[in-house]
Amino acid sequence: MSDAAVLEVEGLEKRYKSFSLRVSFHLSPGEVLGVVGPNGAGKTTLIHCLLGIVKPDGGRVRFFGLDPDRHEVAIKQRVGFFLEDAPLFRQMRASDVLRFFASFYPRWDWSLAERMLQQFELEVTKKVSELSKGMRAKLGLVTAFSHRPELVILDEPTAGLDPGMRREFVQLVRTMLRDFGPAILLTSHIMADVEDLADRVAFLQEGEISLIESKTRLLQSWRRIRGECRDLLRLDPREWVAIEHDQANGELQLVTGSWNVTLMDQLREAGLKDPDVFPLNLEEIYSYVTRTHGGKSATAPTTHLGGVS
Amino acid sequence: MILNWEALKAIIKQYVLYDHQCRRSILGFVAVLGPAMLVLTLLVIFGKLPALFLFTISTAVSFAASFAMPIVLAVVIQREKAEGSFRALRALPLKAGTLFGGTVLAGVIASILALLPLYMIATIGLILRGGDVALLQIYIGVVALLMSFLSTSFTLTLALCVNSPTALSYLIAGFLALGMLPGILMPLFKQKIRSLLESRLEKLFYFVLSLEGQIFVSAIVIILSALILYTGSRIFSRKKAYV
Repeated sequence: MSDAAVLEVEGLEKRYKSFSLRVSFHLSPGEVLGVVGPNGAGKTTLIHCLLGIVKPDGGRVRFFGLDPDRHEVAIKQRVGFFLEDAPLFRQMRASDVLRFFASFYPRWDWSLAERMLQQFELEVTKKVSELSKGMRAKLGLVTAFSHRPELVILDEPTAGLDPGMRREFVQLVRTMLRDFGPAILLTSHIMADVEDLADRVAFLQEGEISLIESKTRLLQSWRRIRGECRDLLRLDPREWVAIEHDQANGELQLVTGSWNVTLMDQLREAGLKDPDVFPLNLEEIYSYVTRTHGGKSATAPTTHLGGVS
Repeated sequence: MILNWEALKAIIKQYVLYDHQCRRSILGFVAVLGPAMLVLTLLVIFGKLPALFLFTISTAVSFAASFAMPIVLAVVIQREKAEGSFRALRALPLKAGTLFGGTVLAGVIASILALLPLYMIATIGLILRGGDVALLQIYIGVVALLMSFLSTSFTLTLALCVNSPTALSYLIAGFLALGMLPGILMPLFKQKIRSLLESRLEKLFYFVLSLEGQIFVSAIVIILSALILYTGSRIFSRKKAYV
């Protein structure tokens, strides 16, 4: 684990009656880590544990090398947050919400806040409860970024937003990354957000990270190979994420998480005719990772993550 | 508990000024009762009503404000917990103790803001009318302030420490029942209590009105409030979840 990490999480544990979270990861300065997973995977519990909303039952967390139990205020002044399930103070005017947030952050930058408000065309005189869901999300983003934090924690920032607003969100985060380069921990089950922004992706399932990898490497190493063969090849199922064989028309479809060019030669030698290789997008990778880890394989005969490093 | 004054100020402003529900309750209380109190005061000044009448009304209003405003704030806190914005409060750069202290101070300030204009109108009227009731009115002001401190400590400690509205309502109902218990038990011990009170009630009354008595009662109320706050702050700071 890096000494310069913005966030280090080691064996963070939170136990409930029917669910428990246990995760380890780190986040480097300026890096965007996307945490993806289905509903109930533990994404929000993780965010709540990091922000002190829920106390963890075990493990070690360090922000900027500091212990959050001893340096809570100093740490949180350097962290921005957006909570999907916390609509900001519905009985307050948007302008009052901003004034309220500004009073907690010594580095609050009103010019940056104004710039974002203008870009978003946000009506600050309205009460939060009178704003649309999209506008509330925008207000949440202004409060998350206006103090130029070194780390921003975003919990499902685009959930329920229309495509136009989602694009605006991605654009804003890119601008902020260019402007002052915060590290971002982004949880989402919308793969497009993560694919657009993340440097690394962590797949969270049933409270555990089943796979954490750089986005580039994921997109490079996951492939679908389609070819023809009448007889089932002698393949080691542990080396493939998914093997689908349609015996009626002889089409064989393979998914790998550790693609390299020599694989094609091996498959040709094994008898696969006219193999074609297709890249997978993050959404497809996500569906294979979640199916595999959850043990709910939809692809007969085998799905396995054996090839993933 | 180390308090950050800037954060405390922000919390107080958030509840008393920015939150529409709390602000409307304070303004509504003053706006509805203010004109009535003004008319009563004018009638007392011009001798159309006895001073004791205004004193009784003013006392009732002051105590009502002391108890009502903390309940309004408790409702606001429960609303914030239900809608999720309390999570955002906890995620802000402030210690749990500061959030607790700020909220309690907001409750006390909300009570003072609600009772002060009405109390001032009645006090000025009673001073202009003259007599001993004016002195008693000043004493009642101090008592109302102390009661506001006590009721705020109690109500807001419950509202902050208990997450479930159902559990909170059970607790409040339980304490109300406990408060009514002496009244229910009274008929059982009527004779005993009456003989006990008759001999001591007058003494007790004069003791409470004396300077020593006032200091003693004030000290008891302050210590009790401080104990509630200390315990509440410890429980709140050690909570496992603020959702």
